[in-house]
Amino acid sequence: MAALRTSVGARAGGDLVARPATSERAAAKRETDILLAQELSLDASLKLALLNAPRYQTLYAQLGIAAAEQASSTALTNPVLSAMVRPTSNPAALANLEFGILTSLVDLLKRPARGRAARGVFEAERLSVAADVVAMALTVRTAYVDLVAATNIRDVQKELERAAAASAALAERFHAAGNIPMVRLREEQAAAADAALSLADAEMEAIEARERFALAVGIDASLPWRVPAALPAAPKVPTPAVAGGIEQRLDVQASRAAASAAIGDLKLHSDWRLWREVGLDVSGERDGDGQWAIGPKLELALPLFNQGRPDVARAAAAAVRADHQRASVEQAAAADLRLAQARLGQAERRFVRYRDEIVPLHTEIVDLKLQEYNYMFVGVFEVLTARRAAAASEVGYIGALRDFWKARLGLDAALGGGTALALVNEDIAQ
Amino acid sequence: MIWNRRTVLSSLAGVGVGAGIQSARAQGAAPASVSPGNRGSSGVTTLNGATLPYTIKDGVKEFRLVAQEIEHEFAPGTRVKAWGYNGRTPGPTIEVVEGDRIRVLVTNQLKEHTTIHWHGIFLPNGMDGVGGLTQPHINPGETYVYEFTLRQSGTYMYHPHADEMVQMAMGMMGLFIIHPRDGARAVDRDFAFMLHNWAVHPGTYRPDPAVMTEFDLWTINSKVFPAIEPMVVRTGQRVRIRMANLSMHEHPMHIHGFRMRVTGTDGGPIQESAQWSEVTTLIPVGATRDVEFVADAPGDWAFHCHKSHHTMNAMGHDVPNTIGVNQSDLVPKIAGLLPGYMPMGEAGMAEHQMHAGHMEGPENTMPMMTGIGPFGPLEMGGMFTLIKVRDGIESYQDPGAYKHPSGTLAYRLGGDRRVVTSAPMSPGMKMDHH
Ligand SMILES: [Cu+2]
Repeated sequence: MAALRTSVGARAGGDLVARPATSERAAAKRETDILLAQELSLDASLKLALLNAPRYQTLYAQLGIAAAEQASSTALTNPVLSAMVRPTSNPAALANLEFGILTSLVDLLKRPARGRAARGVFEAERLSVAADVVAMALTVRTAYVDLVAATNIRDVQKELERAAAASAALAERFHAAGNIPMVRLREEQAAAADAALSLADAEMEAIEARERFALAVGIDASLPWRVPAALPAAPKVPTPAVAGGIEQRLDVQASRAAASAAIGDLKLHSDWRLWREVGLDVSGERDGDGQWAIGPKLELALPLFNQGRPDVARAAAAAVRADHQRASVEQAAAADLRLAQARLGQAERRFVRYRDEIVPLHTEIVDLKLQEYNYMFVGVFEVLTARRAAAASEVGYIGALRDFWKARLGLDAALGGGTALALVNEDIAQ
Repeated sequence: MIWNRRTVLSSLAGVGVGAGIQSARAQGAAPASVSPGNRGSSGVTTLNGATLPYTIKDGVKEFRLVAQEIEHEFAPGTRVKAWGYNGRTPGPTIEVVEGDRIRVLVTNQLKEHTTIHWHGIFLPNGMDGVGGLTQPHINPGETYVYEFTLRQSGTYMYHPHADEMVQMAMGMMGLFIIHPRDGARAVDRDFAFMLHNWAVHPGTYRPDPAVMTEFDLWTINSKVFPAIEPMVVRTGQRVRIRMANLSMHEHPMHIHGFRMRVTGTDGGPIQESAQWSEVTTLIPVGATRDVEFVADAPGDWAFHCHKSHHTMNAMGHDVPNTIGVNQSDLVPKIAGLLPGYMPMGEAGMAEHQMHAGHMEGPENTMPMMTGIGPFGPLEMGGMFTLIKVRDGIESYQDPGAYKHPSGTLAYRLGGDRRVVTSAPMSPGMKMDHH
């Protein structure tokens, strides 16, 4: 179990510990409170999730069930003790006693093979649970990225709204002075009302993102925990190379394990096809004269009518199906990986264009417009319009940055969620 | 009326004008040298400009003009790639005498063809310089020769007549001044300049020839105030100002302190009985006017176009009017979004000149109003310069600010009536002559 814990925990990027006991719950609560007191990093979010999210606990329990099943599947069938007393009518004679210990020889002989098969099944389950944990870690991380971005966008929308409101307030002054017509004033006011609405939308989106994140992590959204104002601007490490490809993916490994387990099962069935029931018996008998006769007894089911063919056929079909499933999973995984890479590439180009071109350009445009305003080439409204466009470009930038991080997390997940995630952790934690 | 003119010309020829020229040429005699328009000086003073030198070959005054792209500065702070002649815009002034035979070699260093039209001058049709109509175009790298005899006097112009809209908008133009043969109508100071308009949008470095009405810069000899040379005159001198207009707008040129007699048009000198006086002379598009006055009052007299937008440098003409708009309490809000924002124009626009000094404007763009005089900002630009009249001066160098005699200066009621003599001019007022 320790190995299992390490494997899943490492892939998910945290320490997967079930804390069913009351004392451990209290410890978890303490740890949670400490984490919530600070600005939440991506790492801390994951720790919180492992401590608090009921779904993690569910998955963990599932692993426990799988382990128990493995243990029971390799246990031998209990030997059968038979005893018989045949009283005699002869008073001088002792009652006739007979006993026997019957154990399934097949069971005994098949044990190593059955153990292998069971381990295969367990391995498949283990990998599948690990994949679920990684997927859930991705959910938490994605929710984190969404939350930080939504909060940031809300803040920028606030600026946008302020610019529009200032513009409308100025327009009122210009109109009151008799310098602009009603239609210009109304245009400014309409723009300000639109901006206020956009801010309200952004505020709602931030609230929803907070709830989604809190739910994924298993904490209360109404508690005063907080996240950073902005996502980190640039990755410190290059995008992980996709050298291992799908080999590291848990779903691929799980499907392969399932396929090899099915083959093991088939082998078991076909090897023991004819020897379905072999009994080894040690029996003793006491005659009336008190003499004991003890001797072995072999019971063998003659494969005259049932030669085990249906079982073998079923196992063979299952093996074929498992292999097809493996191939299908590998194909889907390869496609998923390619797509994740393409998404990351595109998201990165988009983000870089925003960072290196669009946002700086708009910032410069505002400066240049202000210069034009200073020399009376344009009015203040035009400068404020440029300022709004700059804020809008910032919203675009934050969205692109969010999508970049999500694509990055997506690629990590597509790769199996292991080492790449650790790198991302470092980036985001900085 | 062309028939009238021809009739007159032929009749003049009949009485010997043409014959006189012919004979002078036949004898190889040097034509009369430039008759001094300025009594005792070398002729016309082209503000910020120059007169084109010539050589005499076979009794013909030979001039060379090179059409080319040039670097031009309107005033410190605004430079462009313009087109002109011999390195300048306007091109050098051609100054000749009635009766001269001249030859002008025009070399085209532009990347497109050109021609030169001799605006207002009587000449053979084939010398008129209308590309496609009276001559083939002068292609890049080619040199064309124009040769004709001058049969009139007055203030004329030269300019391209090929892709004319573009080439004139880029600065190609020049003055063509023909002095009377007999030295008649001489004056003490004879100034000449061309009025023009330029679309040099803020932050750009090349005139935009597509603009038809909304120009940015209004120039006297392709300069804007305060880079336009002042006209420096000794008290009592007779002054002529020759003004020519190849811009898209007419310009009412206004003199302070004197009245001007209109003594000539591009139709030639006006006989004395037909001259009239005024203080604002309208210079139509494609026309020239000569005005004269006696500078009998010393001082620094303004001389400028009276269209007040033409005495501004580049500015927006579609900006919301800020006069009467109090926004002081909104400033913190706006400055929070636009660091450095300063509300302007509630009381008027005069504060623009003060603010322009310490606020950043668009590159390659001068403030719309500029110039500091002895008493404060002039709040001028464009077609504005000064006539500086001084007693007893020997040099025509800029004499600095005028010192007002006691009791001749407006004063603030209740203030000190001591005469405020010229405070040193700030750099904004300094003339930058090129
Ligand atoms: Cu004008």
